[in-house]
Amino acid sequence: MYYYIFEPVKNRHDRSFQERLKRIINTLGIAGETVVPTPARTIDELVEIGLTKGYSTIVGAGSDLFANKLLTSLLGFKSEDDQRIVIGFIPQNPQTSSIAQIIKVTNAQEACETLRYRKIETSSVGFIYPKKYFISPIQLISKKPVRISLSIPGFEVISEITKITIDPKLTIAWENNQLAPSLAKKFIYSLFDKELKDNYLTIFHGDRLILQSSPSLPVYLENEIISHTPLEIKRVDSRLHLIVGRDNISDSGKEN
Amino acid sequence: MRINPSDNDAGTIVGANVRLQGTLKDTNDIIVHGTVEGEVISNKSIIISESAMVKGPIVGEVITVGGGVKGSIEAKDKLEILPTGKVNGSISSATLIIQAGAQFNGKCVTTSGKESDGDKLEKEVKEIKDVKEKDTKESEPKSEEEESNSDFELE
Repeated sequence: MYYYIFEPVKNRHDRSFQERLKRIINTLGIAGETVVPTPARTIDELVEIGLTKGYSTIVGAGSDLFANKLLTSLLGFKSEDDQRIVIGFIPQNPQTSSIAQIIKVTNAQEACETLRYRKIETSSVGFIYPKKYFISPIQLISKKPVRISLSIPGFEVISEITKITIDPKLTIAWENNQLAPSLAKKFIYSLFDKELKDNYLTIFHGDRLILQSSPSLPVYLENEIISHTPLEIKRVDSRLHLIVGRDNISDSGKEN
Repeated sequence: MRINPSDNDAGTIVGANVRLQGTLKDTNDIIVHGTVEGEVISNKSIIISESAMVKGPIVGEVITVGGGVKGSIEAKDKLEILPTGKVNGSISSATLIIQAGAQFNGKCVTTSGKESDGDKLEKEVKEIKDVKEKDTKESEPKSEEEESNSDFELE
């Protein structure tokens, strides 16, 4: 049985999305209890109620930001040994959703069908101390270059950046827009059919990192600030049991 | 710029405006455009670009040096120093290419990776010599001093 937590409706578009979703869920025979967070009942409380009632599959429907909040709430209750609890997502905007890419769906119908087929994979998530989890990339953005120090076990890095992107597997990519080739330069190079390399892009991998900056920078997840530097993040492997889409077999017979 | 950094097979890239201290280790490729003070170790290829400076040992499968390196370089397969490359330190590689214009100051050792017949023969000869020396020492008669020092009870 499924326990659906829908994101609160903000406009008519959200409402029509949820109504359509409920029709699809009923048609596919995967209906269950549906709840919506309110000021009286927060996501944490709704998750706790669902777990108390014995639901083993919690499904979040809405934006990526909502999905990450649900994830933080669920993993906060779920112990590391608990293999029972499975989470599913129905992204509202699959075309721009990073979660849609992770669960391999392109629309709401596909997302609901993945819930029906229940292909479960363990997935890594990022953890920001003291208590936030994330499955979508987080970003630190500054209009002017900011001096940052990144410590990964084994080495320390110092640089000036304007943008850092960190994904849940702790691949860190950063750049300094003021040093990267300008659009004009790229255009001129393309006229002469020459490749212009960007030597100012940096990519690291790690299991754990500490990020400090001067001045302090906000950390964005889907345009909402979730934290500030200094930041300590670690990768948590195999913590999330996620319902994902099945692999597609194309006409050529090859599996995608 | 939307970066998709979730591909963990991408390796490590040190940007030109980055200064790194410590040991940079990756199982995949490493590309250095900036400054590294410490070791650079990869199971695959390492590229030190023209703008890079590495102060420390470099160990990899295939290493290409276009910038500055102060330290030893050990390439298990191939080492290439480009015309803009400047190396101060010992180098060791199975295949070595130093292009015209490159600067190199240090000791150079080329390795084959496999033991040659000559090396095998040398080892066998040394083993035989060691065994012979040992036998000779054991069979030599003991001197008077050694005899008097040996345990001997008179009844």
